[in-house]
Amino acid sequence: MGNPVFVQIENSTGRQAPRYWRTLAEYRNKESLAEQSSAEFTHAIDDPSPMQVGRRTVLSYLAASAGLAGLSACTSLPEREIVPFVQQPEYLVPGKPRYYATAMQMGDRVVGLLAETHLGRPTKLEGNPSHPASLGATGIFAQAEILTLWDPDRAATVRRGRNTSTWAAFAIEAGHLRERMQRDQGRGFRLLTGAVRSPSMLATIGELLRQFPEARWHTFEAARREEPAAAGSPSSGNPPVPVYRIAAADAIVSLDADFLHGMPGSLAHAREFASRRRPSAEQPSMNRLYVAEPTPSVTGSCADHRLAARCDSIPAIAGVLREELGLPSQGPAASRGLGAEAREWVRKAAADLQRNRGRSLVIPGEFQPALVHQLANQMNAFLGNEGSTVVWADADTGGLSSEPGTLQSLVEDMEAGAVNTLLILDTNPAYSAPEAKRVAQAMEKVALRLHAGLYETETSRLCHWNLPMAHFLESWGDLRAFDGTCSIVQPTIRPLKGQKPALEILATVLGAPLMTDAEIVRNHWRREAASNRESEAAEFDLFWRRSLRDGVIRRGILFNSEVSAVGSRAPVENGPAVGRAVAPPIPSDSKIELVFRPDPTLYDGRYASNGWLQELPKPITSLTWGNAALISAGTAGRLGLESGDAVEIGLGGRSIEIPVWIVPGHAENSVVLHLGNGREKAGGGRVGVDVNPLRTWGAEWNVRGATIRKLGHQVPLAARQHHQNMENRDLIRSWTLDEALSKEKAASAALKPELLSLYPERPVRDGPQWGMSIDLSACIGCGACTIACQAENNISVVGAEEVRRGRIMHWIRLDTYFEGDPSAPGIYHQPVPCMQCENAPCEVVCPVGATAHSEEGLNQMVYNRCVGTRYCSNNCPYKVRRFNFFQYADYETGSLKGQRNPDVSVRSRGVMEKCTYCVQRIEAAKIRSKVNDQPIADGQIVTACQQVCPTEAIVFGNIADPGSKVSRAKSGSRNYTLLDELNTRPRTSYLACVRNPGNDLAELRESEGGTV
Amino acid sequence: MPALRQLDPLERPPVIGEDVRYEDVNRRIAGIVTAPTSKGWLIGFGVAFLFVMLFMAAVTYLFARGIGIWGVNVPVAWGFAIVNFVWWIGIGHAGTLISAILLLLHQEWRTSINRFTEAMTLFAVACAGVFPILHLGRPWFFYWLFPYPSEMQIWPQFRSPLMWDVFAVSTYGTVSLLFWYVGLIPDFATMRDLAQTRGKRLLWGVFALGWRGSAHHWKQYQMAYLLLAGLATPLVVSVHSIVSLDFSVGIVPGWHSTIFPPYFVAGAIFSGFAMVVTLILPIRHFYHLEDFITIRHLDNMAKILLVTGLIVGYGYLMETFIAWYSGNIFERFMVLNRIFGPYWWVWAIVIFCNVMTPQIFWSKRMRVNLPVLFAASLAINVGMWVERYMIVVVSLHRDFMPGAWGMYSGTFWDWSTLLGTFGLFLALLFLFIRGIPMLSMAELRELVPSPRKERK
Repeated sequence: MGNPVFVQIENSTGRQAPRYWRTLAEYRNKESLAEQSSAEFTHAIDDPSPMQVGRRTVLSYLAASAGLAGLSACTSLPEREIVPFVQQPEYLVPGKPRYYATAMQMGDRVVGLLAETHLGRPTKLEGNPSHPASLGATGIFAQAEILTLWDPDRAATVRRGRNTSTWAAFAIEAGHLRERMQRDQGRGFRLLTGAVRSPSMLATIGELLRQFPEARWHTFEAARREEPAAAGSPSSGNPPVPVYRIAAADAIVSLDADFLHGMPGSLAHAREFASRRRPSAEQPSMNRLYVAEPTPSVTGSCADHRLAARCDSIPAIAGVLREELGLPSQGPAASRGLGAEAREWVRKAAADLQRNRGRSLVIPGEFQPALVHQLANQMNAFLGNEGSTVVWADADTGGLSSEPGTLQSLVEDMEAGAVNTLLILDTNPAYSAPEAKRVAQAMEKVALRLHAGLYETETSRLCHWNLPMAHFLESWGDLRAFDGTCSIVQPTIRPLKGQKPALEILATVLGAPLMTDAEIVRNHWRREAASNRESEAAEFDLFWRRSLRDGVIRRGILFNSEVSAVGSRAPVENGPAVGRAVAPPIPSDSKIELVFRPDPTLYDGRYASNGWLQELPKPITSLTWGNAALISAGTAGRLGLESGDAVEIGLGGRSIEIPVWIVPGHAENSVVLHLGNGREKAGGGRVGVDVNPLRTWGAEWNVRGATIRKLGHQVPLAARQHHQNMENRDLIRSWTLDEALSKEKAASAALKPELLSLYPERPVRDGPQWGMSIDLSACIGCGACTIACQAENNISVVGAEEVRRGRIMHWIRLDTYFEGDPSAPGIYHQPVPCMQCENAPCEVVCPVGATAHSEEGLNQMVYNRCVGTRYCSNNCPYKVRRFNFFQYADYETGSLKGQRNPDVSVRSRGVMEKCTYCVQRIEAAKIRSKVNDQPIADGQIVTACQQVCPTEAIVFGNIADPGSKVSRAKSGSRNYTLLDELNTRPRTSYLACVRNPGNDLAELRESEGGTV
Repeated sequence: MPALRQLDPLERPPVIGEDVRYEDVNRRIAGIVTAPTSKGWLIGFGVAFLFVMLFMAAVTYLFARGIGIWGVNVPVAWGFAIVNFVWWIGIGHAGTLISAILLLLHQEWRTSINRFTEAMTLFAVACAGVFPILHLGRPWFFYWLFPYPSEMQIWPQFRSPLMWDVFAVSTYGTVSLLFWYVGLIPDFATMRDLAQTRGKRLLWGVFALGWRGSAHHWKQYQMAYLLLAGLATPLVVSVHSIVSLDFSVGIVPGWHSTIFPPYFVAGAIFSGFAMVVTLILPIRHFYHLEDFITIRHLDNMAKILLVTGLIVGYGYLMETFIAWYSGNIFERFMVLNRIFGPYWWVWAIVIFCNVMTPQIFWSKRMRVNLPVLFAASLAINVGMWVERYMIVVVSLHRDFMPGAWGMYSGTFWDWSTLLGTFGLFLALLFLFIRGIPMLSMAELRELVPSPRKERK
């Protein structure tokens, strides 16, 4: 790219399409110049249709030439305040990162973040410890957002049709639109957004609907089931939202709810859940988790009692559970038709819930129908859990009188011709909605279609106007978390290519094109503050600064007990309506059921062009780059299928071709399909299979009666882990609670053979000795550590083909093993970073000494010295070393350079690399400690994997200090090292996984005095 | 040539045809070099050269893209390159063994094949020697493996077996070259004396280093040759022992074994002799050398194949036994995985080619049956390559942590490189046959029965 200013000047004198001609020759050349440009930029100017020549066409031509000039220069010049620093701003020190509190939204989930910036470049996102939905952790999506920000495939230009245009041209268009809407009160104008969690946005939409009373607002979230929102509520209007306090629950029953990983607040859930999974002598109790679900989820993999149940049998199971608890039932006995296994599971769960009244919790799944939510709410109320493990938060409606419409109603209106203008804000129904084709066809009937989004998508291609939207790290905003806590979203960088935030785009439609997003948000909160406790106008500035710095506005339910009382409500009486619903039909097991779920890493497809998420192994299956139809071993056996076999799945005349993947612990006759794959328009072309064609309205989430036909060929899938059987090796120790507390087990675990080494002992040095402890009892297997490490350490993406060949580069991998019966296996996760062995087998065999030991016990990799014999990798028993078989790191793409961590080398081809314990963070802390002349405090150095971990399973620190957190963790009886007998003496050790299956049902009955 | 069954089993068959005279030796062996280029040679060389070109293409692409063009991955970070390296080095062993050890043991029969096998050794080492460099991630830094006085004052890491490899292989290459060249000096002189043109005379003369065939020369020469043989002898054992340490120093199950050095040396001699048989049978046929390379040579080599094959078989057996006896679950799994795992066919080929095939040589009839001998030698060549594949790939693909297990298969470029080194090897051999007396005339003359009656 070079110096943009220079390029710009060159273009304006040389190749820019001239607006005014000076000589006739130049005038004649105009056409050929336009041709040149269109050849260079695929979607550039076409011939205008003769029908449209008019003022608008001329305007758009002007805009297009200006846009083209910008395109040739690759980047447009910032328009405002381009003055170099005359004096260095305070705190802006090259080499020292700065952190800004902000927040992100994905679907219904909001997470508070701290954005790390280096000289104005955001490079990494961390969780905001003060934010109740983060508590310092983040999920995989937050980690990947930084790559989305710098993604070279992001939409960069305003387009009108296929022509490039400008924001000014859009403002003129918006002016016409507004004129018309003022005439007819906005009749026929529709706004379609995703879930809106932003108070300012809600207020802006409210303003729009007030100004144009006939306009309508619709929301569409591809990965959200619409009905449950209303399920729990006895009254119409704004239903309260349940907030679960997992830590307070001793017995948890999840009815197909992936509450540890896939729900709003799941980071907080995971933290609280894990806090009850670390039994010790001081705290010998542990919670117990029951999960019934069709395919193992992250939550299911942590269950003490897991039931593989078809998705459509969950309502029946909920009904039987409710009966079993002793709630009066009006219908026939629901337990009829449930399998013995399911009945057993229900009996155990019910007994446990009964024993723990007030300390138990039933969580309904997001994708289960309203009925399951009703039943769960009744059970929680009956068990006295309301107020203890479940509290209710008010849904924020931003003072809007009515709820937004659905996509379905919008489509019906469009088909009826009732819509003349459609503004779509960053949602992609033409790809992700059920019956997406119908949506696309209906859209064709709308006279003016505008789309604003991060990317050009299937939907944007159907629109007249495409407005590139700014990323949340480039814009101001505010977000409301699952418990009602609000955060200000503050930008960390100017929009990279002149994109505009959604708020500004809406403001343009509302007639305030010069209003900045900063003003909109600030004004909103000024008004808000005026009507609230933080009211004093003089104090607003203070409130604003504090909110920005903290990243939270302290109003959430978890901050303020007063607020929590607001949402609590009377338990629902057991009305007849419920009674009827209690006996849902028991599904016949022979019909194959299809279950649709958001993709574990791509969500609804919005991350399809994010390489980190494409390459992040999906939990349980470890698949990367693409999806498969998940089926059980039994179903596969009956259909004669192997993992990777292509099948045709048919439903009601529609069909898709997709490979299957056998998952242990999957429900029989159930096929789980993940949305979000097979995007036609996403960076790098189509990856995976779009399962959307099988979905219809009314059967969006599960449907019965599919057919599966084997096609006879194999599809090469890119799985990270090929072998999920531990082969009776002592890799993951799994104990029951009793074992964990018993002294004998601890003693036998502590027994170690005396191990000798040929080499002399390393002298014990002064100074810190780094070590790490990973608690397998807390690890839920979400994979956040892998992607956080990737973001921190500039780890390359290698692509599907290379993953298939076994060349994935992740420094910390997540091994998932199954144990026992394939239909009901135990599932265990183990994150494996470099063990940093004291007797490292890799070091001895390197012929050039490119891997060596530091005095602080780090096994260091000297990239410059490495010649790439790969002997170290062969000799590593943990196989944690990664090799650059090709030039994986992208040296070419300019924008990706912005993302990289300047403290970590970008590795070249032919060089070995591996986990460093985030040595750059260690060194930064050492420098700080030297400058401040203070020793490094325990917990001051946090590795990237540790920082991101929602359950705090990873602890890092100085093992030479017996009081450090990591030393204490390692001193427990659950501590063990991997492959001890090899005498590698790893610095990374594990804490045994503890499961709490409890006693047999019979014993349970006894203890309960036969009440069960 | 007398038919075999007429031979008295107690009497050793002759090492050289009975009718051969002194002048025959010169005429027939030097004649191969001085004769005009034959069509057969041109075709053979041309085909080999095509494969050299394939090799060059494969290497060029390798240097341009990186070793990712091969099938290597994590966990199987070593693949064809190391397999080929070990295989080629092993092939070289027969040459040194025949030249040096058999010389020291006064096995006269070696004389008619030693020149050829030494050349084979050199070319095999040349083929082997490229692989450690090609297989580097950054081959342009290969010299970092040598202890040169770097301005950064960095030395290689001497605990690494790869470091030892560098010394072992380069020493071996050097000594083999010297040994071969010293043996050639009298023959170069013969060629000089036979040369018709001044240019040829000059060329041969340079290489003959002024050899005049004086008694003094012969005395010095024989001492030097003997000393070099003495130097080369430990190398036969050491080189492949060191190569085996690349594996046995590692902790990978299937590598970490004390039996490796002897087992590798035996395997090397096994494969080396197999290669000698494979090459010498066609040459003997096409160049009509039946008088010099007699049935007795072939019989002897088949016996060596049998013996070394048995040693190799013992190695397999002991590996399996120790895996069971050690009680080490990783070792046990490794053996079971070899036999029943996804690479069971590798194990099956190894057992068939290396253990079962040589057993036919218990029968004398089979030892002297040329088609059988040829087929068996080919099978052993393949078997020994596959054995190294088993050791390198099958051990690595499933080691300690099942979560990191993987599979491996060679790519087009892996195969191209392997076939390319075949081409390189054969092209060099063709040039050797065409340009240098392929049997030692000087030594053969010593064997010529004169007068004829003396033999009885």
